[in-house]
Amino acid sequence: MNLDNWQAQLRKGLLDIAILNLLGHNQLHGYEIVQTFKQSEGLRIHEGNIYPILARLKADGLVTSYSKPSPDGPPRKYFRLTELGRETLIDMNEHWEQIINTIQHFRKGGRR
Amino acid sequence: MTLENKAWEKLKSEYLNKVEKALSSVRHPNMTEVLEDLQSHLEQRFDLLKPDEQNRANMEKIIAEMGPASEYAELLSTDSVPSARKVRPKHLLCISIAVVIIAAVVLLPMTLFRQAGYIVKFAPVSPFQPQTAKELLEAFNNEVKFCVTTHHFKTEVQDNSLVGYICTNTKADKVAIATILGGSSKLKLISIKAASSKNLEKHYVRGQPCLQNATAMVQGSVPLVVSTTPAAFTDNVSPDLEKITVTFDQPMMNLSWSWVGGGDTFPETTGKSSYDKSKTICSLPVKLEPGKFYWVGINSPQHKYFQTTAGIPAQPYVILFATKDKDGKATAIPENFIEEAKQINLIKELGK
Repeated sequence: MNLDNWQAQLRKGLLDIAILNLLGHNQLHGYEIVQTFKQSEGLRIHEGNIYPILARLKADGLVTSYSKPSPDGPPRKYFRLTELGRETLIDMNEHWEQIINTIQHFRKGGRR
Repeated sequence: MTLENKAWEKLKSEYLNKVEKALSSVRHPNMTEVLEDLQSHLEQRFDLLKPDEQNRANMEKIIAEMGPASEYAELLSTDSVPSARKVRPKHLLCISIAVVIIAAVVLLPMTLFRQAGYIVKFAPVSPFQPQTAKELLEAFNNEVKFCVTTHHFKTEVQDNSLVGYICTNTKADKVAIATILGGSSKLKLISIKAASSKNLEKHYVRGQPCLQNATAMVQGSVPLVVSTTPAAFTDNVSPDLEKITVTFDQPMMNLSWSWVGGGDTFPETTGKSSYDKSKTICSLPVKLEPGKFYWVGINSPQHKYFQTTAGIPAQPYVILFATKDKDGKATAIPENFIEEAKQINLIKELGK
């Protein structure tokens, strides 16, 4: 088994929930999201990857964006969760907890 | 334009062209937006380089850190099948047969044992110590007076204390119960789990079905927001203001509210929400910061727990405001937020 390939596939599957959780706490612009990911060991991604994901989440109605003036240059595009995004995030986090619990259970042998 | 700038423009343009080509296979409606965002990101990265750092090596490093153009299509696509591996027509029949077999083998049992709802587990908070299942369930009903489509329940003793389980049919009920228990002084939420109908039938008692469309059956008028503190669209609110209040034109249901919002534009709360004696004024203790704008919603299409004792929800309303900055000057509220709030509040005006 190629461990790098497995890690890459796993990361891709988790990016949506990771970004939604970040936006659940703060309204962020793309560069801030990228910087936060850079500080995280387990979920490192290419910088550009953030934008197709945000566009998809926006098309799904989970995220919305607005422009805000920046003291350092042109206005920045901020992203925030919609109400639907918040509700979906609750369900995603719940499902994520179930997955973690199942994996932990299997690691211990999987017997009840 | 300097030589460095020209080189950067060329590199940037080549990269964006590659991404555009990769994305065109997906034909996503937001493709142009992705390219604009990418361009903006690249410009920001380049602007962050000091003049002596604006060399070819650093430019190429920025492009490399953006990632291969081929990754974009897969991340933007909502299809489970990557666009690069299109299904050939001659395989379609085989796949169709396989889908039918999978549907019969997998989906049928799944339908029989499908998720029927959510189980909300809750417990009393000291000093409340119910001695009987009836007492605990009555406390739950008193806290959650609105119509919840619960249909199964049970209680059991854990660590010498009663805990209760209430099942809900819908996700909306689940969120509503969690919200109300979160603000309750008598009961606390322990967990919420999905459950199959088989599990419910086996382990839980079937309760009386709750009235459907209760709001349509009760008599009364839609509660209206009479005033708020601060008033909506005020841009010079004192950052020392310690609570946000909303006044309704009639008494509301105690311990039931939907302050809507989140993230950076929702104020930090410093305590629990509460009603005054008349139950017409609801307060939310907050800590505001100078020079910021805030969005505080009163109900929303999904959250309707500002409601009368008869269960009639208030029309959604938004208290959009900004605090004075450190110099005591007003803070501008972004136009797009004003427009959005006006549209919501207009519905309330029409409701009058």
